[in-house]
Amino acid sequence: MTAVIETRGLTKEFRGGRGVRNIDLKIEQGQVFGFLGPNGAGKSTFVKMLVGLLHPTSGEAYVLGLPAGALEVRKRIGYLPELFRYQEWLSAEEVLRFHARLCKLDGVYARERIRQVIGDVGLSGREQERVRNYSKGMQQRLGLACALLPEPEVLFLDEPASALDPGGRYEVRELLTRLCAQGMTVFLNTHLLEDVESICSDVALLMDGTILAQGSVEDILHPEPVWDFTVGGWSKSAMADLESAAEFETTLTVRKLEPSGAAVLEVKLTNAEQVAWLNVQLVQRGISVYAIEERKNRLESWFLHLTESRSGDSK
Amino acid sequence: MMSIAYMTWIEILRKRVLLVTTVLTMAFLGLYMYAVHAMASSLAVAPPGAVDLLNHFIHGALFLAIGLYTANFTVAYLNIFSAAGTISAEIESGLLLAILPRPISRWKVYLGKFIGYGAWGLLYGAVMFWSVVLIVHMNVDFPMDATTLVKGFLMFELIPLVLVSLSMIASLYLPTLGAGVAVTLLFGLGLIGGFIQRVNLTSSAQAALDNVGLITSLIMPANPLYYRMVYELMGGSNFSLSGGQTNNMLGPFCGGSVPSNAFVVYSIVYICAALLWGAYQFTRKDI
Repeated sequence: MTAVIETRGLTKEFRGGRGVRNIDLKIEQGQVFGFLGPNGAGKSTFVKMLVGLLHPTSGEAYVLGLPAGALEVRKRIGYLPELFRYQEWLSAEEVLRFHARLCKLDGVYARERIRQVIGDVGLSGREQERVRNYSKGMQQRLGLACALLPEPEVLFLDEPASALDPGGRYEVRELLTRLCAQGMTVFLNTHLLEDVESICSDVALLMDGTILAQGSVEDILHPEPVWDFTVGGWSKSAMADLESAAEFETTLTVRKLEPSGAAVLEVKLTNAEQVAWLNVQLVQRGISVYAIEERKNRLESWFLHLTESRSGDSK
Repeated sequence: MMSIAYMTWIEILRKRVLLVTTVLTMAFLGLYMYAVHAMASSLAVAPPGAVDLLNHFIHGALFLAIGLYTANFTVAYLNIFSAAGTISAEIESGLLLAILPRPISRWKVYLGKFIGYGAWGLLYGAVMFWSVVLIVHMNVDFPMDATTLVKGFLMFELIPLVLVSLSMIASLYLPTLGAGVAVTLLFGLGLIGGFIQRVNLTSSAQAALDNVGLITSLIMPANPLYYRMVYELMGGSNFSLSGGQTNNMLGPFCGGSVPSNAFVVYSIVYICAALLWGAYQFTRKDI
């Protein structure tokens, strides 16, 4: 796979001490990459270097195989900034026409693209209104329309859904998933971990200007399948009995036990057959099985675990 | 580049800058016309022989200089405050964040803005200049020929370009208010420099004051360009103002010494250098 975005030791130092340091990142074509981190971690600084708004202090950054910020690269990317504003004295359509001219899109194609992106972001029928009358959510939709206008190969989105209502967020998620299926690479800077979970293939966590962790969302959310069995009539002797009966390697832990025998068992099982086998074994030993549930890790707990442990280390 | 310039014009139109400017300019020109007409009428009813040809010329020159002096201020402030926020305000508001990642060189964005504000300044300068000239021409029998008018006009038109280029540089480093105040103070410094050069002192003190005046002129060439414009309108090299009756009569509306052709060239180079420097700094700037 070709790296669409690649950084090597990318560093930006500000006078106040904030910034990002030694960021090594490789993002392949078609990925939706989630860039996470607490406020002030340096996420926007990093993206601004990739789109040419900030000049790196050191290191290298390449987008589509060319130095980040080069004119040729800027023809092929779309960017939605976090704290942006469009000319409030223009209508949404005029803003898009202005950006079409900046992107050097020719007349007929530009008109067609403007119509298309207005529809994509759900602004149809409102495009003649002045931007000053737009709500924050509508401005964000317009920002997304502007970013999508030149049919970019790489889309940089800095908090694209922060001002949107749940319906709007769902629409944006659907849109990004669709674009990604068409081969677009999306770099998503966001606080909304739910969005990251549902659309991102890979993530990196930035804290205090450095990458704390990175990997695929699948590995983070499902490192090892764990099942919770809620049972009744549990006894200590049942534990040793079950472990000796098992024909495969497993770990069984009692998470919760009440004097009545009601318990929650945590079991590491690799597939559904093993779950069914354990269910049968429990029932055969007179233990009632009330519920079986696969435990799902949440990105939020991963995020909190890493950021809190880092904060603890720094203290 | 022209898209950026065009957008600057749309902004001026839509933000009602043009409307407000037009209304207030009409008010200013109406008041000026009334004053010139009243003064010209009092001269006309003076007893025969009391107004000789020279006096007539001096009064005409005075009306013209007062009008253009005031016009110079309005043109200056309009241009300073129009352009003072062009970079800083657009960074603060986030407007440039959406524009600069587009496939357009930053120097073109900078130059586009200069073209937009510069053209606006030139247009407004032209309206003010020709309106004042027309009002004086209609009310006072003041000699004007096409060559002196065009020369004077060209000098007057350099002033907005100086101020726009300087305001844009200030806008790179300072927030809108700071940039506006800084360039206004520089403009004021240029005026003081011009006044200082008019003070007549002993020769050694005069030389020192002349040097101060020269330095302020080099820092802010707008005021000397105004003096050169007045000089051109009063007949240029055919009519010496230095130390004469006209010069005294015109007071602060006329310079102590006339800026040379070399100074005019310096002013043009100043505008170009300011533009180049600004564009270079803008290209290097972290947004």
